[in-house]
Amino acid sequence: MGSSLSDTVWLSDKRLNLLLLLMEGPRNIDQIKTSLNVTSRGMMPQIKKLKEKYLIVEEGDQYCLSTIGELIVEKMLPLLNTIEMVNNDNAYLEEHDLSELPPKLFRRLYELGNYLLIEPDLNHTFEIPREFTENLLKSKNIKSIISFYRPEYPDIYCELMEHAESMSLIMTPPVFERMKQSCNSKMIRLIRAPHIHAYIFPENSRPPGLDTSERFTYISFLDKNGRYDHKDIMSFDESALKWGDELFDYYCSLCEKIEI
Amino acid sequence: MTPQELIDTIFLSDKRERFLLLLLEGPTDIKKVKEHLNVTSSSILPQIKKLREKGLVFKDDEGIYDLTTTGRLIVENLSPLACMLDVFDSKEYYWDTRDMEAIPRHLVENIGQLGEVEVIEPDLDHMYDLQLQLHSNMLKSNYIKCLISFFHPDYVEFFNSLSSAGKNLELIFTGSVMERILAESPSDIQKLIEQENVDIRLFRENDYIPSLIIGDDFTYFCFFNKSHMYDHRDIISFTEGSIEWGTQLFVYYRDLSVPVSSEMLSEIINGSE
Repeated sequence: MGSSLSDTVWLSDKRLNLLLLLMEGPRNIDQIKTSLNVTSRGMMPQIKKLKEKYLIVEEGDQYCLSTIGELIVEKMLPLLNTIEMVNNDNAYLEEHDLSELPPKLFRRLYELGNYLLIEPDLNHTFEIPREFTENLLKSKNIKSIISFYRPEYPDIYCELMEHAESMSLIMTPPVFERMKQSCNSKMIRLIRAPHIHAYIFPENSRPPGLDTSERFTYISFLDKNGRYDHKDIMSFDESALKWGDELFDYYCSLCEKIEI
Repeated sequence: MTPQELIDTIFLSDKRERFLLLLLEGPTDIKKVKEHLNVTSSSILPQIKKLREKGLVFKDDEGIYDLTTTGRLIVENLSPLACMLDVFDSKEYYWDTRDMEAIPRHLVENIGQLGEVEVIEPDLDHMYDLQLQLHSNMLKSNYIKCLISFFHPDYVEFFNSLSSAGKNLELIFTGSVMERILAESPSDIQKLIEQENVDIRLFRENDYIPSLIIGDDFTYFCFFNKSHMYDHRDIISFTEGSIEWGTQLFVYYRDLSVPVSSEMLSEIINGSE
């Protein structure tokens, strides 16, 4: 009896690594040996099994993925990236509230890519992380969701207004109230600026804090009790910028524009 | 823990993988697990224990199992792959030799949506008849959508009989098929197009697209192989997913096709006389 396709794909390191290698392009046996650090004798039986399942084909001295092999490996990559993410940051992911994310973006959380998990040390808990402000000040097109209030925010976003070419801000109702209370004139100036779009989040649900631009995506998930524990995620990957942009657009579609 | 350990946890046991996929449909108790997976408590409980130890699954005070956040992240990404592997499994040769060029990329990537499919191998004695299962399922349907990319001498007559039986037909023919029909049975096609319950369109852009028949509760596909030959290996499926996938494919080609009116047809037929 033949083994299932799933077994063929998953139950051997060598086969899995070869499939992933061939996703990058055709390789001959010498290149396979070097890249995967294997011997011919160790690899040939696995190559044979993959060929029997029509996952790879031999063309001249090159091996490459078959049509179905390529379709399958393309579907394996998101899973492998997710497994890697779960493996590295299990505690963070379990402790934080990801259920607010739309299902599509929840599934694609791995698109945050090679992100950094930022945890301020005790002496800096009440300061905004340096990485955050530095990158934001260099950004031209900014989209932000302000989900909780920080005393520095009115100043920071007013400063950003001077630097950025465009900026879209979503505020939750309590944040908007606090911002107005602490600095009404700045807020009015901000909202009235032609290159700034300000929105108010409809109900009392709390989206994660988000700042995304052409430079980076910075996200502050609340923990499962709805509190902010000062642990943030920052990524510079292309896929993370797209993910952040889509997340902003999703929440923005639920918002009302603020007009003053 | 290493990524490999998680991979092994998910894939080393078929029961574990199926249990995870079941939880994606919603929280469930052990009774339902046994029913759905057709397993005994003593065979599944050790597997569930392993998944709980790895933090992919939890059990609440009332004995209800559900995915943890990380478990859900993983299974959401496992599911599309598992569906695709199911469709290809033990039919690898068939699928690898199909010509998928004319099918939009997002549908090819979603081919797992088809679910359970049966590959119908050619029966040498009836190779040139309308395939039996197709024939009987069409007779049972009230609304039929067809995308026809290769000519069969019986098609137009069969469509006429379906239409007379009161069935609604949406038909798309490729250019080459339409030419053959006009050459071989002009009066039949003229009769067909005049029926109120028949809509005919013409797809001119490519002759090598799959044929596709969608009835009330089945889909039937004939894919060309990679050398653009029809090798009489067809697919039939009765899943909701296959009807959805097939309908998306049908609509894709319908949007690229043009309606054919009876005036157009008579002009062509009379012009060629």
